Amino acid sequence: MQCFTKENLGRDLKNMGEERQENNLEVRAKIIKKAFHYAMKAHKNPEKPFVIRKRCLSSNVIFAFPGTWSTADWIPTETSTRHFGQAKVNLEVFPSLRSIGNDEAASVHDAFLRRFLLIVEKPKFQNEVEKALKRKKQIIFAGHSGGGPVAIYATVWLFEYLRSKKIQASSPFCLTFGSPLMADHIFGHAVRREKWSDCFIHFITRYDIIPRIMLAPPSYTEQILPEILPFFSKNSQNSTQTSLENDEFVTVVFENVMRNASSVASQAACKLMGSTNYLVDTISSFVELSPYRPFGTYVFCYGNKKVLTVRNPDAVLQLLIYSSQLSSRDEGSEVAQMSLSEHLAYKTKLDEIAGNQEIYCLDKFRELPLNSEECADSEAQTINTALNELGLSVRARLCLRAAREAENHKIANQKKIDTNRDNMEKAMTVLEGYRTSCETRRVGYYDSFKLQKYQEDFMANIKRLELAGMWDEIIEMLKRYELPDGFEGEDSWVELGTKYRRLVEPFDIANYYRNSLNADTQLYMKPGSRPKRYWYTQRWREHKENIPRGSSGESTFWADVEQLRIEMIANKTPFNSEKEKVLELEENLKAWYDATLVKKDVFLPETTLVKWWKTLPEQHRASSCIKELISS
Amino acid sequence: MDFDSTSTPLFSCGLDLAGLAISSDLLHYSWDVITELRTNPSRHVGSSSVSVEYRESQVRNYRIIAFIVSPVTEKYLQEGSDLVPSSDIPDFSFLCSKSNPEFSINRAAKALFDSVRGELSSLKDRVKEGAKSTSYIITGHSLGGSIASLFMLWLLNELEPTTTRRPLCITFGAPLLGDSRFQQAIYHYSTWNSCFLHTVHRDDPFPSIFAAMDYRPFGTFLFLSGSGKACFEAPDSILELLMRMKPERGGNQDLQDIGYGPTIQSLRSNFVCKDVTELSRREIESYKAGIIAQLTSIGLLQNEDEARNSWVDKKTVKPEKAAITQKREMFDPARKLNDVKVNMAQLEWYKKMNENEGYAYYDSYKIKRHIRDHRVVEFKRILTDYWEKLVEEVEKKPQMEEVPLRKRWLYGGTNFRRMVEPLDIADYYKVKGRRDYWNGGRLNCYKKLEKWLKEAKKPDTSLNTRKQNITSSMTEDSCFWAHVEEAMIACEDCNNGEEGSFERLVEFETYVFGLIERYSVSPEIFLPKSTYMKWWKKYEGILMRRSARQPGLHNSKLVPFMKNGRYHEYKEGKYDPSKDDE
Repeated sequence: MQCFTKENLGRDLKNMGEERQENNLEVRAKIIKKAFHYAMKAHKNPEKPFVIRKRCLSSNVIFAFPGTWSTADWIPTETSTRHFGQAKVNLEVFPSLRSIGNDEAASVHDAFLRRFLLIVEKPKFQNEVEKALKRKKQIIFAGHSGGGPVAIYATVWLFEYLRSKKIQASSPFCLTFGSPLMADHIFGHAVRREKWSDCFIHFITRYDIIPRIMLAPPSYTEQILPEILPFFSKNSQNSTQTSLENDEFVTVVFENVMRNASSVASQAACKLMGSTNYLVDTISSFVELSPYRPFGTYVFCYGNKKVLTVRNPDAVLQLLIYSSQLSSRDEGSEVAQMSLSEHLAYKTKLDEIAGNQEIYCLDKFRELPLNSEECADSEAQTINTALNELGLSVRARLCLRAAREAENHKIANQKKIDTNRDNMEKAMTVLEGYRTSCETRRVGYYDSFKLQKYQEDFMANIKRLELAGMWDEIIEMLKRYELPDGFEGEDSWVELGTKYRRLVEPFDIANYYRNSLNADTQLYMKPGSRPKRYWYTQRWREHKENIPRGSSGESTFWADVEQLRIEMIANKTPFNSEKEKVLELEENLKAWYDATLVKKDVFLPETTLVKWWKTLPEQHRASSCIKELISS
Repeated sequence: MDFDSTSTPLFSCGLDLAGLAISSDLLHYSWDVITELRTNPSRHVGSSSVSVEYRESQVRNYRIIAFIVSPVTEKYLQEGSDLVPSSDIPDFSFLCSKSNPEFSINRAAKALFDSVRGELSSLKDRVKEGAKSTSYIITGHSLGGSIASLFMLWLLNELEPTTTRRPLCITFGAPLLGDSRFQQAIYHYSTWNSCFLHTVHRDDPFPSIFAAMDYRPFGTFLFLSGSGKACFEAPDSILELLMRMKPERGGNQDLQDIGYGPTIQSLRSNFVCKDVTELSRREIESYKAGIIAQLTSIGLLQNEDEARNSWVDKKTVKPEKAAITQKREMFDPARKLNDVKVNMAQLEWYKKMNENEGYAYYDSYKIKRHIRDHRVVEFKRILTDYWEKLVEEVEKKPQMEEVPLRKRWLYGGTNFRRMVEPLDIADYYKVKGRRDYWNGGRLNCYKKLEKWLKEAKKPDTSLNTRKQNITSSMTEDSCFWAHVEEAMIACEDCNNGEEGSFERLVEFETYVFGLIERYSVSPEIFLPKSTYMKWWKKYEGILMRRSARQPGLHNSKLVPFMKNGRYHEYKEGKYDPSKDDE
């Protein structure tokens, strides 16, 4: 295969390096270099929204986006009112870019998003994408510097496009070079959940300031970007590298960016390490800490032709800071100058990679040594050499270990709840048995449970509570993002959650109305009344099935029935003013019954639904769409 | 991140916390305001030769209030080194609690605070108002740091946590302020303790001046040296480090000389540089590595061999770990909430089964007629343990902080009280001759839960709703059965001709009818074998005997309700008091 697979590129490159398959590596390196070449070509044609490389014989099409050197394109509008110039992503364009159960939309850097939205509107862009898809080509989006974020949006956009149109195509790829950070942790969470993460490869050099610059507050970047961008602009046009003359200015910029980035990294590290000292939060509340976080696979190009790939996003964040630290202050102005020049040095770096195979993958190493001395274990020694060459201190190594532990902790959490599945299934089997036995008693389980007359009803209540305990534990973990990112997208859990919601939510509704928790005005469907475990599991299904939010309400119709019953019987609201709601409920019930989401025990003569329905005006009942269900 | 309570901490985040404190520039700006204040004192307050000065400045989007006390010499501190008991410091009596009734603080700090109390009181009121929209840093140098800490505590006690921004107190080179009970008092309020960051320079003699005496640190300590920084939070490890860094000093040294400013400045620009700490031993555990890196960073460990020294483990690693573990294992009511719900369901079922057999669960439990009456003891124990503990935790919080907590638990707590308290009443009156449950046996958690419900002033459910749900309802007054028992005793007293006993019965009658009118008593009380019905029979007898003597004297609403069996209507929610015939 002479194209990218959805495999991790880092792993790929490493494997190839080990196997010395010169041929294959050359091809891949070639593609990367091609992509970079076009990214730079795009810079030279800033008037074009993108440049494209298509060859009949090639299996892929490269779209490259120009970076922009105009300050206005880097600085978000209304910085003063918005935290770090963040904007919520446009969920209509990017419906997946949110956490599902918590229902938070990802926040992104508003300036880059606006640029992408202008491009995606252009028919030419969509036409080219469709053409490439038709010809079964793999699409690669690429961008250098400010072109990176646009390439990222384009890739996510294409993933969403394929998903919504249900098109089977080889997955798109995104290659960025020295891209600034542009999205918060929810963005990365969502991309990992959708399993797109491996398709984003970000190349960065050891000292390049641009991938770090968004960690500084906008009040500061606003001041320095007008000084730095023109320098890049000049130098990206012709390859002769000059340095910014004012050494002192560059040094101060580098120091300030690093200090601000350190704040972000330190705060993140405290959280990773499981700190229980709230002082971290107290201090953080005084300073503007950047919300932007890395995601995807980072390829750190350092030293002499060497490469370290890292996927753990927490580890990437720490490395962004620690890998560019100086070993002594004497290097100060030299490194500061490099922080600018390396932003334009990707061509050299990529040439070097092609010729060398020293590629390490951080996530693969089991042990991360804390000291720079030689290790007896050859594997440990390999990674130690890499860490040494990146100049990582004890503190940096501890942070990397903590990032690893935090990831392991999430996996352990999931293992723990996975072992609960059996118990959940068992408890649900008991409740299903209860349901059947209520059906034979002709009352239906909703009303039987609501009445709580028999021992069986009580036992069902205990099972309900047992299940609630197990599900609430999951919801708590999700709220704190303590489960692996992919959890809410796992088929088996979405299925179990849906089964649970459909079977057990009526019990909770019955319990709610039995205990008159609806003190006059309270509705079950209000947040705070309806348990979170049902909001979450409903959202899971809606996301999985790609259907509008709120459309999977088949488990809550009892609440609608109760509410209408209270309105019409207790509060004596006339039928006509509730007619629309009644009709909607009846139609939904019919549809759900036909789809076997609602079973026939709902229409047994002694149920709350039927008893209430029979109080409706004769005329209405005669033409009701559920008439036959009830009489049969 | 929430780790299992059983797991031991894997990492010490002191290095990163210290890093954050410096890179955030909070230290830098606080010290700037102190320096300004020292170079141009804007005002002098206080009459003694040693005086407190303060200044308020706007920095970025927050305000800094700095305190200094000058001139302070070591001699001055030594002379005021003893402790003053809390009984002499009425302004801080809010720190006293049941479990920790008193504490002591440093005499010198207390005297200085008193000398400017009036000024600080109005400053406090201003900050209280300002904190609704602005964050405040309260800072101070040396004894000024002690004043800053006291002012901060005073302020914290009056801030409404939900509507104001949490302030931060940063001290520089402040001597220790209070004894271990003072530290304990602040520890009670976990959020308060995390508002204090005490900065100590390795060359500053003043912070350690009381370290060998009866003083104990609180808050988080940030240790600085020319070469590095570290953060510690366990009082034991802080004391150990203070003792170890005790520098050489002369008797009258002026503390102006300690270089906080330059040190902060150099650490601040050092983020571009790699941390030079090296560990030479292999495969070291992450937690200990973090501590050793910190100790090395501030120059308390010269070489790797020293790290093998037992004090590192015993006096720093162990207490720091213990402090984290303790916080993780803190009682978390949410975690056990579901067990509690299961036990409540068990009790609910218990109530139901008894009703089916014609018993109020109160009576069944009291006479223990069934094996399940014994089994229910265990459910009751689990529930009572949980709520006693929860109420205790809430009470430990400072007054302001406990309000939102109370609201959170109000619903569950009220259900628990109504369901379980009757069982405690049954146990109480089972012992013959006992009276006055309220003062003789009522648990604190019931008293508090009832009080909180009253204070929350939740609107009542409507009469209609209560009517509709009367079959499954619980009696609102959880002490109802104690009232019944007292009425039973009153019947006996009345038969013995005791003075005033009949009036007690009439009072009870009015009380019961009040509940009936509002549909707030469970219909289970009318079950034939209930203590209430027993009381009614006794009372009816008394009334008959009385009316034989003095006919027509007793006029009440309860009597016809009971006599005419209207409670059958009540059970079905059909009784309407306004339509009473008498």
